[in-house]
Amino acid sequence: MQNWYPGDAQGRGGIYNFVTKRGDCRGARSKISWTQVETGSAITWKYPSCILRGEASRGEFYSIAISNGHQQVDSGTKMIHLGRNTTSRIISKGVAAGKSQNTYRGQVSAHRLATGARNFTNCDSLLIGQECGAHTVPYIEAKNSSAVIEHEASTSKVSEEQMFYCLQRGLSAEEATALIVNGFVRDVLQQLPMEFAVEAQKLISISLEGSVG
Amino acid sequence: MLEIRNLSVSIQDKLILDNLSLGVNAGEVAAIMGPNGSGKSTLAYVIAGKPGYEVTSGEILLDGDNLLELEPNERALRGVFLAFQYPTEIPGVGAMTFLKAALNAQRRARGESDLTTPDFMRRVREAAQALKIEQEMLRRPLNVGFSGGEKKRFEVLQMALLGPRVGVLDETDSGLDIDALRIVADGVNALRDPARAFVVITHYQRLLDHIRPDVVHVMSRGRIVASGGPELALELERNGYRDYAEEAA
Amino acid sequence: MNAHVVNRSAAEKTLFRQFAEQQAREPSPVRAAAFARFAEAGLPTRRVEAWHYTDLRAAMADAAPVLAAPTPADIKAARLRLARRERFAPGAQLVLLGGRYIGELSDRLPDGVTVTEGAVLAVPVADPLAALNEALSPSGCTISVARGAEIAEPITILHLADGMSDYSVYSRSAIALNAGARASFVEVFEGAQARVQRHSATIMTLAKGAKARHVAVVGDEPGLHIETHVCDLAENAELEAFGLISGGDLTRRQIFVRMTGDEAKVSLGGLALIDGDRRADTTLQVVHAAPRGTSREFYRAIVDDDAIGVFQGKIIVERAAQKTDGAMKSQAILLSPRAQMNEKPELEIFADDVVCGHGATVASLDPEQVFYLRSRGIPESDAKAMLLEAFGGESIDRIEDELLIEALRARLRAWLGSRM
Ligand SMILES: Nc1ncnc2c1ncn2[C@@H]1O[C@H](COP(=O)(O)OP(=O)(O)O)[C@@H](O)[C@H]1O
Ligand SMILES: [Mg+2]
Repeated sequence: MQNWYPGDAQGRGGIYNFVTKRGDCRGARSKISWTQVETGSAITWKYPSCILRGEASRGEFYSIAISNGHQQVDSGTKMIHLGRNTTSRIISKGVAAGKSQNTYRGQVSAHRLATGARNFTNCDSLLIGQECGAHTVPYIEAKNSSAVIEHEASTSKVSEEQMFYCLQRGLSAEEATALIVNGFVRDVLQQLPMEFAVEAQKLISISLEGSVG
Repeated sequence: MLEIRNLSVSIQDKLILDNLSLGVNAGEVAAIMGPNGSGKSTLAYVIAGKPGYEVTSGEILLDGDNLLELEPNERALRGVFLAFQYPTEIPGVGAMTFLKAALNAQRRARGESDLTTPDFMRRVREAAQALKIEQEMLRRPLNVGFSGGEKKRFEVLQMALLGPRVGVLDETDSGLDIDALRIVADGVNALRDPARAFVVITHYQRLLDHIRPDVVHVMSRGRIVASGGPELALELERNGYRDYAEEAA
Repeated sequence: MNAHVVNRSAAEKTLFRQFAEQQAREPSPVRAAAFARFAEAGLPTRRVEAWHYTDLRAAMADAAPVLAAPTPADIKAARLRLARRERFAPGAQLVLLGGRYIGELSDRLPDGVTVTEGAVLAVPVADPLAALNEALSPSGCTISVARGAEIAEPITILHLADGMSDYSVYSRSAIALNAGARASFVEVFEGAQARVQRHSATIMTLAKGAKARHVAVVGDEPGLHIETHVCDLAENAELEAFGLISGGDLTRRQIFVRMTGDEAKVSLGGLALIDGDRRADTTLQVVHAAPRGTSREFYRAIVDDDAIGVFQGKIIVERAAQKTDGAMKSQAILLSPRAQMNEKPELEIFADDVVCGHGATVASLDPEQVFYLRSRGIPESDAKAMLLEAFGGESIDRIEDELLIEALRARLRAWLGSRM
């Protein structure tokens, strides 16, 4: 969970967060699961990756990336399938607000010997406000006919009906947004241990402060 | 006619059918009942030759020939018909295109010429009417957008057109309301013939009220654990599978 | 001219020489500017994002000599071939021989359609090969459809290649639909063999409320086929485009669509049938620049043997393009353990009130489906052919023209039949 200083109102002085993380699944049925909640820093470049070498090894990447103000987030993962029957799953939820730019960038490759490899990727983006941007850049590379790779992505804004429903029940626009965003990222929050999930939820609400109104 | 001897089958090293033996005579309807997961569908698939199952022992004879040595389409040409529990959806392949391809494959195997289009249309129309299948449904891609009941009726339609030696019906009753069940059962009954056998897999007595079985087998944990007449099905309906599940344990 | 680019490849050096020779014959500042844009970038490598999976610099050993204008004898020979040839689609046909429009080989056009020869200019797209085409192509022709004209039958643009020698051929055509016009165009590429390098560009402009269909059929066997299709749509204009690739060693279709006017509608599709050691790359860039635009992209590929398929699709939604509705889907089936497919579907979104998505899958034929068909007595090879025809056919069927669907499906069946 990353919540470093994102800079002042103009985005000045924020932390640059450039991270390399790589995991190597060497043994049969070994597993690596990366779960991240990225809310801070002025610029984040972060691609926690898995090299799936062991037979039937598994890589997972669950990500929530929230950007607000002038933040720029460019994050995602690489799933490199080298071994037989390796599987991977990528769930990425990006939320862009303010003047921020939020990019998912990921690579899934199934190499020649990775027979029976399977990947499922879902990356959804939510836009809040008219000055932000959300981008999705997946690289899919299948070098093996028994691999099955499925990728789906969507980008939309907070639904007006959902918003109205919440407002009508007396929530403020900000509360409503936080509620809806928490719903949007739920698939990933569920991957977190209970205490973290509670923290993450609060963090998301704080990160989005001032994004509506 | 159909003779299964000491059949053991595993999937990914897990034993699913355990030294199973079963015989069905020409003209007979054999019912197979058993709890979920007992291996009924696996048996049906192995008879039809679905890839992915490892037969570790035994044989399946149809009129004395070992089916296990044949490809799935060769088995179909010998007269094996499986009505799938979950018929596969095939987008882009029209139901009619498919029916014609299947019928003609069988005709060619018998050294007959392909059906003319009017002849083919007439046969399909007749069979469809009997099963109350709308012409409109036949214009759709194969099994795509069919309701559960429509899929099952379409399986029976295919069986009627292909006229198999042995029809294996895997839970053809599930998902059918009472009217559809009667239509499907009538369809099957119309095909009963001294030269033809049926294996009817079901959970419920309900279907067997309409398709009267000659013998009833109870399956549990990959084996036939009891066999008897139609009264066995009634007993199962009252008492459930509990007694048999324990027996196999 | 570019001090920072030190190592020019053999092909690049040849291209520089070819361009210098052309400038010496007929100097043109417009071409010089286009060539400068090419020279700036050079032949693309993997480092150029839009060419990430097709390293043209590595693939192009050299640039073949530029083909001269056809002689009267060439035209006569072409006339004989045309007489024997079966047409892909009904309707009038324009013939491009050696990249040049040849009036005497072409049909009379229906009322409301005119063709004029002369330089085809375009708003440049940021692509080195599009720039190269502008620099080296003969002047080309513009097909215009009059305001409100509705042209019933498709108009075919036949790119006819000829001969057995090494050459590169450049062509450039423009298609302009005036307000409210409706017309359908088929570009058929024919007759090229492995030593031909073909560079073709088609620039479409659709004025307010115009509706166009564009179908490209690449079925011959050039060593290199680079096709750039640029389309700009004004308010309420609609484009339906489809591309079939079933031949060529290295084929690249690059499509740049820009929806400049409000409520424009785009439906793009394609089918790539790739076998042997061919490579086929389809790359799209769809820019929503105005509000309430709709775009649909639906691409499929069947890849066999040692072939490599590429699909890249980028949907860009600019800030002004509120209420954009964009959906892209690309699906590939790999038939051989050595076949490869690379996909890069991208969304780049700067407007908030949008619904955009993409899906991409790569898999083999579904074994459940193969089994279902076989369980009804259909032999394995027939079952697979049926499924492949269905898979490819679904992309073709989205075209709203029965005759074109049938002609394209016939090509698909022929391709499947030649392999089974
Ligand atoms: N493809 C498969 N992979 C792994 N296990 C399977 C597969 N198909 C069936 N099984 C297992 O085999 C057993 C029998 O399943 P099935 O034949 O479908 O039973 P039934 O039809 O009697 O409900 C179950 O335990 C099921 O989980
Ligand atoms: Mg079952």
